[in-house]
Amino acid sequence: MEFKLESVSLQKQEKTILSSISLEIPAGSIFILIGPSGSGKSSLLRLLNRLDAPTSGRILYKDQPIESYPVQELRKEVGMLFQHPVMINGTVRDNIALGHKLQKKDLPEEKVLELIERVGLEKDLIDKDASVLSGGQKQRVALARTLANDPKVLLLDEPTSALDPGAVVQVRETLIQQAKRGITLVWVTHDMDVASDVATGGALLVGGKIVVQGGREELFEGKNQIAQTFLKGELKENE
Amino acid sequence: MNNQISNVTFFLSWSFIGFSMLIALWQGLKMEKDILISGIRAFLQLIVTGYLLQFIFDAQSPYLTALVLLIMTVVAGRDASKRGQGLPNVFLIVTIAIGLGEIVTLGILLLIRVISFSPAEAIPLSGMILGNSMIAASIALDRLKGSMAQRKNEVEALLALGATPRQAASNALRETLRAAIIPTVDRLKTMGIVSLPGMMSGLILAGQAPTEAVKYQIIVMFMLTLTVSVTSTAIGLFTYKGYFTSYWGINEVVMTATGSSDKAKK
Repeated sequence: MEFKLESVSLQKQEKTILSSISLEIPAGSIFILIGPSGSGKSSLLRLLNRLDAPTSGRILYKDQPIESYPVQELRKEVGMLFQHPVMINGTVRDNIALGHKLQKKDLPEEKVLELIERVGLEKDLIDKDASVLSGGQKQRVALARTLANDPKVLLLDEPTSALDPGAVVQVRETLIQQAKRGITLVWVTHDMDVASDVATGGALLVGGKIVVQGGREELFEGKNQIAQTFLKGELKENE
Repeated sequence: MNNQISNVTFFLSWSFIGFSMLIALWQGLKMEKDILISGIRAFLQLIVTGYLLQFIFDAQSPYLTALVLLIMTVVAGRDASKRGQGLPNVFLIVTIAIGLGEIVTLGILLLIRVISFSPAEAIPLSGMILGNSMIAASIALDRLKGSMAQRKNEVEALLALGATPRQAASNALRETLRAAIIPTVDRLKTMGIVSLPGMMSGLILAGQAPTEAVKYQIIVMFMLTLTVSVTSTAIGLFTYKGYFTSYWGINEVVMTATGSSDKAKK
């Protein structure tokens, strides 16, 4: 089991964001988190690399309490992609080598090129100013930058939701390829194509609580009334 | 100009306030009362300060001088820390930062024997040091809050890549220090051309030769450059940690309290 959450709750400024979440995320899975806006999906994701800490409950990563890992090591192993990729000043190369630079190490040129290829970018982009790239290219650079840390898990916080339709498909495919290399994907998405085509399992959150969780069958063919309503697109925000 | 101001002349200086009030009345500014009250306040405060300083100068006690400097530092710290509302321990941090600027600058002045630790020299110079320190601290706090809010996504992306809080905040910190130091450096560039600063004007009015007065002014400007550098660096390094949790996440409580959380979100 990659992650195991036991009665995890999260409160922020006296507001309950997540209540009593228990969840298992198997290693090597494409685990999706779906639900209406404001249901706590992103908040849940941020607990898994300790950008946030739960108010109560326990999170295990590889059977050990998540706090027992040095936070820097954890974040290298559990990488994260955000909705809006942030490029630092400099070239594509500078961005991809950033993680190594933070550790005062160098990332060799051939490794940079390998990563560029792995995320489906053209090799001659290596010396291009990262700030002028398209949204889809930036998200791929952000992915390459995260992959440079050699992660075992990728936390994906709606990484395709701000992209134009053509780029959505490409970035999505690139992400799925990473799963084929054995990286566990925990994927917050509104994209029902991702959800129904590639997910090996997942959970539906509504109002900070898990309504359904499990494999594809439980999620998509179960009898749960709320789940069926959501999947038909009829569940309104913050319900 | 005479070095002594006669009582009659001093009394007649109220005509400046009187004419200002007349202009306000004429233009319908509804500020006559405000001008008068402010004038009286300034008059009383300065008179009291004058007598107080005279008393301290006459006492010639290094302890009393040190006490006065301490009080001045704390008052400066209290005032500048208003800009940092929402940051943890801001009053303490700002007072220490301003105090450091004061100690380092005054220390060097004493060491290279520009001044001696007598009240007549240490107190007015400290006034200048603390005044500039306070402005630098205010700018630094203001900019740090703005930069952290603006760069929240960047800070978080860096943390997620394995950066330390210091690394994640480094761009915001750099912006903070630059903003606080730039005005002083710019003032150095135009010194003597655009502005004849207060200290030099004062010395010339008091009868010093301009060639002597500029020497003091040069030392003062150089010393203030160091003061603002020390204070703003201390503010940056002591406060940025407040934006982070112990497990190296962003402290949302501080982000919200410094009035910045929602600006950063799309």
